[in-house]
Amino acid sequence: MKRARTVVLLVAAAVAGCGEPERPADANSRPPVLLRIGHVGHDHHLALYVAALEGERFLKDGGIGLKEVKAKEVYDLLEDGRAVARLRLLKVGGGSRMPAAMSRGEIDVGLGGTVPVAKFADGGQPFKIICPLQTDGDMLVMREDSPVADWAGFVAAARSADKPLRIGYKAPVAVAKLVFEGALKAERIPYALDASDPDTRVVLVNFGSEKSPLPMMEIRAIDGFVMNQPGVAVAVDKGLGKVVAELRDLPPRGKWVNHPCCCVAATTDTLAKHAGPVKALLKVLLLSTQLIQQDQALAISCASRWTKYGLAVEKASIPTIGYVAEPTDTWMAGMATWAERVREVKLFTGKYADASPQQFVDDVCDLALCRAAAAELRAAGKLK
Amino acid sequence: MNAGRIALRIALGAAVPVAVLGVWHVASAHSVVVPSIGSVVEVLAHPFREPANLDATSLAGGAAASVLRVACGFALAVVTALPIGLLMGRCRPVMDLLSPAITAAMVVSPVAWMPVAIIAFGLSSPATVLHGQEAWRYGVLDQLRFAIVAVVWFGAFIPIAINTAAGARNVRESYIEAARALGASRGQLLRKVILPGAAPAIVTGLRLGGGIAWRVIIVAEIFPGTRGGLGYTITTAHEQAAYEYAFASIVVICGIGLLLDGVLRLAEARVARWRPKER
Amino acid sequence: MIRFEHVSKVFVTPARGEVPALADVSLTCPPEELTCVLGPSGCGKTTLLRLAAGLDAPTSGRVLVDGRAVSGPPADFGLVSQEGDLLPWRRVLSNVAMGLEIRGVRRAERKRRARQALARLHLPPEIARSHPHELSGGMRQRVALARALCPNPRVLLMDEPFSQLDELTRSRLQAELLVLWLADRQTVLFVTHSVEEAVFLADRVLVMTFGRITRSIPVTLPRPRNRLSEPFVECLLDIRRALAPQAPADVAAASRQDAPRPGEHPIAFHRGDRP
Repeated sequence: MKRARTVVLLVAAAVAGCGEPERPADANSRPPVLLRIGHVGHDHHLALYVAALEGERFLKDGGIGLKEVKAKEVYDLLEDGRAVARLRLLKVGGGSRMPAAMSRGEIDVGLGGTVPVAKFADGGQPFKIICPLQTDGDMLVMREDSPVADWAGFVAAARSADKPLRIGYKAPVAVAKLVFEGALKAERIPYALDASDPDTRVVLVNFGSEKSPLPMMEIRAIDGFVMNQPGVAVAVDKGLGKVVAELRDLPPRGKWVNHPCCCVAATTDTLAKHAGPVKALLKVLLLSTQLIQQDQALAISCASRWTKYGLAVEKASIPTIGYVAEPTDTWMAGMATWAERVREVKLFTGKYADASPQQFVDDVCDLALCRAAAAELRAAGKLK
Repeated sequence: MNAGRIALRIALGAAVPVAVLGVWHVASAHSVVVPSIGSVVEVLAHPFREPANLDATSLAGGAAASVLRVACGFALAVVTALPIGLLMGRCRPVMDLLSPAITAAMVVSPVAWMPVAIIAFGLSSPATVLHGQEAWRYGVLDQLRFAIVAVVWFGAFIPIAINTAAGARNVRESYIEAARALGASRGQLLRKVILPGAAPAIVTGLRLGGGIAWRVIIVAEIFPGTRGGLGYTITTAHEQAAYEYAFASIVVICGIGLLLDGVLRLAEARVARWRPKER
Repeated sequence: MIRFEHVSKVFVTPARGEVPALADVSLTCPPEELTCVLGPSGCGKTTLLRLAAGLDAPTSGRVLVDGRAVSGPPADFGLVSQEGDLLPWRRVLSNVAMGLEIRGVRRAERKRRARQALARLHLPPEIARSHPHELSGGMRQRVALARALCPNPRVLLMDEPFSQLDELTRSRLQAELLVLWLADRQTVLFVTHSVEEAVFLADRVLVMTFGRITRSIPVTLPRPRNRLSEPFVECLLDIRRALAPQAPADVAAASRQDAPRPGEHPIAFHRGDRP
């Protein structure tokens, strides 16, 4: 009995001792604010990762950037020599995961899809979209051996095939799914979530946001899927699919061009209390996005280094994604399109249920800090 | 036993694994999703290497994180379930109070409680409690997310409590009376008669609980916010189509599960030594 | 000294409702004497012993030890049950030393006294490390006796301790018990269903049936008693005669009165002198 007690105490001491800090905490150098930032871990959020990996360059060129404290997890946000905030990066996942984490108070700022964020805001969460991240970057992929080669071919196949085409999607509120459904409607192709109605030409199959479409593609359970990058590039890289159409090109012609995908969101609380650090963060993202636009090779290499997706995958993926960190007119128009689309599918049941698209966009977005950040950078000549 | 018999036993024992390997080999030749045996062996051979094509820790790191979480959850379960089980077994009102709840909870997979655990605990861990904002410095403590440990605890608690209660209840009354006649106090009765008498049942409960705890951890780690652990590695491997890591993780999971079960079986045999063998 | 004053014990079971096990029992166990309770199975003698041991409480009446009511197993009582009830997970020595362990005696001292107890019972010292299930029935009962005797109790309660053993082992153990008792002179209350065992061991035999003490028969033969001698056999026959069934009419009346449980034979007794 006594021996067992000693063993238990020793083990407990060892475990507690395992909490040895990586570096002793330095009271002087600790920045005033800790911002917890949620992200998904793939190249839609490349702006953040480039900022993290190229922190030295940004600090040297513009005096503002990220300094690594613990790789991939903790970075200090420095502006003009001063530590403005400490950033804790948390890989919380995509889709509804990020706004869910924010609603539980686990993160202060989140990078993620515009539609899920809006849905949570609709449900009463005090979220605001404060900055765009990227547009487009999603495709329709069909099996390698499919006779379909483009959208026209897809439409023809859907109309003429004796069995409905099965197309996979990631999640009910996924951006790719919304665009695809809008296109099917425009082409007047009847679609449904199952094949019970004999008129259905396209059946949408949920392959789950944890899983990937690849297993179902391999066993031919689905004929194709609609999904964001880099999932598309992975499928192509593994030889399990071919890109048949970019969703931005789907009908109605022009409607989906530059459709907003991921954004930066924050709680109103964070915006009120930490406006300064958040603005500094947005400045960094603006500069980072500019670098991605200018130096694609660097962007690809950074993406591969951070996300651990292969270089070939990133090479195929990044050129298809529109990285934009400023709320341009096109982006605002894209948000308005979302509002319409989401109304069509009656996604909003709360705050935005009866709001007009303009009202929705005005309410859910708070772009003041972003615009201010861009203006300041332009004034200093750092942003084009 | 002659050489022929021994050879036969070995052949039979090896038959299923060999068949599995054969099927695997054939499948992997025609599939992208099923990795080749070679690629999986390659991963297993370098357990401390950080994966090049996967955003996850090394296999050993993942195993360590999962084992640590299970160990904590299991230890918590033992510490809570033993006294409660003993109380249930010896005290009728306690049994009447807890038995319906436990029986109801028994049929629910512990993983179904994960969302509840997340709402209750979020991403908090001993590190966040002790060190608040500096929590990220304390890697190991931060890995022990309360939500995950809670789910493991829940899974292991129930079989341990139930088996302990049954064992305590079934200790032969005459042993207890013999000890009472020798002057044993209630505490002494508990320590010297009830606990040893219930020991075989308790160890069976530990074995069942341990098995469930290990099975649960993999699924529990799929849930958001976790980094590290074999469950996380498997999910991420699916996302990034690095299937050899998924398979390698599964092999490690099986291995550790077998080890755990083996150890507990040994304990079970040792404790039940005094039971007369059935003839 | 043990006294029962008008003790009754009623059990309430879900199956049979109220079951009277003891009805108005009064008896005295004189100190340093060996008193036997003799009766068929189901007559309540085990219940009697359990009340004396403080393992159960009477429904009415009092059980007194040295003038004080019993409220839990008294400190200097030893108990040997029918099956021995050695703790199977403990080795023999550990079982024998258990009474001392409970009293807080230190390990070295415990082991010494336990080995002494084993020697007194003529048990080979090698079995100290055995587990009970490795021993024969006779040896187990010896060990049980050793366990009871180890703390030097003043009173010994024994519930048919040898009834599970074969006849030869039984005789031998009876003789050994007598030797030990003659040396220690505890107050002994010995329950049995064997008339021969009662006559061999007892100073006084209390005959019990259907929860009542019906006869109290002193046995004055000098010890050591020879089972084959005339006086022994005479005493045996006396008791047997006293237990013999009466005329059929009386039997029928008796059986209507005290509805016996199935499987028992309704033996009626003379309501003789009460102790």
